[in-house]
Amino acid sequence: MLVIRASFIFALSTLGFLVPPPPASSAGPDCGEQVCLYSSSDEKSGSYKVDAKLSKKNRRKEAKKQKKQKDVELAVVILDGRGSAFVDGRYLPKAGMAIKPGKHELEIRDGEQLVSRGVLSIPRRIDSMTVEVHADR
Amino acid sequence: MRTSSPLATGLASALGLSLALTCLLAPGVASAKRLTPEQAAEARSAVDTTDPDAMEEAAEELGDPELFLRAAEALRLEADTTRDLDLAIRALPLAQTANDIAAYLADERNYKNSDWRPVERDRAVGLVAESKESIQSIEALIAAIEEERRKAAEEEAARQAALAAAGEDEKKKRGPMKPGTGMIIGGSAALALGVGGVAIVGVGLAQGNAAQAEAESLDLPAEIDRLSELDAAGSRANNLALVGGIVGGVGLIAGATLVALGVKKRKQAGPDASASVQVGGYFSAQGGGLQLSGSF
Repeated sequence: MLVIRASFIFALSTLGFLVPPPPASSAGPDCGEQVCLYSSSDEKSGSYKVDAKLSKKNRRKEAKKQKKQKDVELAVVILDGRGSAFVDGRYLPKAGMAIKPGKHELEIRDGEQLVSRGVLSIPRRIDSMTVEVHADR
Repeated sequence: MRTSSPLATGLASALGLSLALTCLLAPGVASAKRLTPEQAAEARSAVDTTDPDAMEEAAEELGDPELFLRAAEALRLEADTTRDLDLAIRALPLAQTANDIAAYLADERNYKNSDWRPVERDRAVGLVAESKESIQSIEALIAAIEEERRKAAEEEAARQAALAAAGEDEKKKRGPMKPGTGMIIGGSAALALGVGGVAIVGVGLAQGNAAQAEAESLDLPAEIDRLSELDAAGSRANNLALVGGIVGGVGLIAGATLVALGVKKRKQAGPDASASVQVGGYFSAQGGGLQLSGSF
């Protein structure tokens, strides 16, 4: 029995050599159809629910809930097009902005054309998050 | 009843305004929770409207479509005057961002749900149209400046082509060099060098003779120092004459040979391609010399 267990461990460690390691950067992208999320944490990537909305009341609730949490640097990058990003009803500067974790309404707009709208969930205890929006999709 | 002096009232107002602006435009503005159109108007009035960079910075901070549009228009006007394409290109995204924010705030749901209102909703609706117009003007300006630059580049290319064609015509008029021309030119230059060498011989000999004559007239041994100087001068003159003789001899021989070969080649090519070089002396009341003349 001991011999079998030892060979099983050996096989697993051999497999470990064969499987390529994850990229050196932080977490890989969590991509939806149009939006990819890049988090500074390996384990927490966040989520983006397309076409979802947050009412003013829910935004306030969420803000109260996350009040004591550490800020997260949020940046939005728009690829294959142009536009401006709005988070919880406010223009997001090109350089990004510090924001509390939790749920936020995100809207990307090119003039009167709505590029994307949804609810972004930012996990706690991460330093930064980049939202990549593919405007052409 | 207490009354305050006009000075005190003025100071208090100024202090209040500056505190309000400091709160709004300080780095902490990004973390502020809400913005009303009145607060935005106050912050806007503190921004230098002659400086597009300052307007753009404040516009980013406040998310203010008014300031974005003003910055874009300032750059557009400057680009229109200076015909600077870079300025016009810089103005475009500012006007587009003004349009994005205005369109966002013009949406009734967005405006109701937002605590960040740099302008009233009615004004946002107006700004959508104004920023659209600005975008169209900037795009037209960019197209006009690019067209001007394209035309200028075409004209310059045509001018360069005309200059190059004129140069070609001149070459064609002159025609190709006749056979032996290179040799005749080289030979003539060598002859000129030889003549120069002969002239140096003359100068050296004259200096030597003068030194010799002066040395013979010295009162020795009283002027023994002068004799040494003249001896050195005579030696230098002799060296000069020697160098001149070598240069002159080599130049005349090589030059005469080259010219002769060149003329022979020219004659072999036919009667139309003849050439001649004449070497001779000339004398006048002031002196004499060697003369070199030719045609090829």
